[in-house]
Amino acid sequence: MVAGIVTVAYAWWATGVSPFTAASYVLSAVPWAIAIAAYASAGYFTLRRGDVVAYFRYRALGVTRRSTTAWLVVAAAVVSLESVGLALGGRSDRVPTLSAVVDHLLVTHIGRCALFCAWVAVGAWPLIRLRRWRSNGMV
Amino acid sequence: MNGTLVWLALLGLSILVELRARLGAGRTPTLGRVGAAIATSLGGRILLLLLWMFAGLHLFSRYTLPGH
Repeated sequence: MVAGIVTVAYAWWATGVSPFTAASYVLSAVPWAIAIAAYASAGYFTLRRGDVVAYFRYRALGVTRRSTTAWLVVAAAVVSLESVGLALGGRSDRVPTLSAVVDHLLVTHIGRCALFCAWVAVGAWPLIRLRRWRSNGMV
Repeated sequence: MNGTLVWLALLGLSILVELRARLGAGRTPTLGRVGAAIATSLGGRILLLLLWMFAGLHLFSRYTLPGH
């Protein structure tokens, strides 16, 4: 609960700063530093912590290259469309890049704040699940 | 061709694939399980973290408002 409130407050602050400024880079880098420290302390970067690999293997049970065909098709389409968009200069009206499309969601401060919170949640989610898995004694 | 519509179609397709995976139809895994498969190797875990970091930097420090 407290972490959620702090995240939203920080997101509101960080997304109120103009882009391409030193402050915007620093404010985006703070979650990086926290994430790197948290993942490192969880053993995410070491080869020795067998439980990290065991957790991801457990989550990935049954995932084969063949079963991921649908996702590979989506990924190939994303890469192709992005490549065409970049080849056309990145700001083409006919084939915009993904970031040019997402820019429309960043027009309002509340939209940027919501996306920032979603980005933090995506970064934190694997760590939360790993900790929950460990606390359930699945090591 | 309006590329924005294609992007929206791809978003819709991704949601459909995820829903199909969550409902257990077919053998398609959820996106989270695909990420877990990538994260079974140290290189995969580092790659996923770098992608996440790049997305944050690109979205919140290097965005350009439409029309500006």
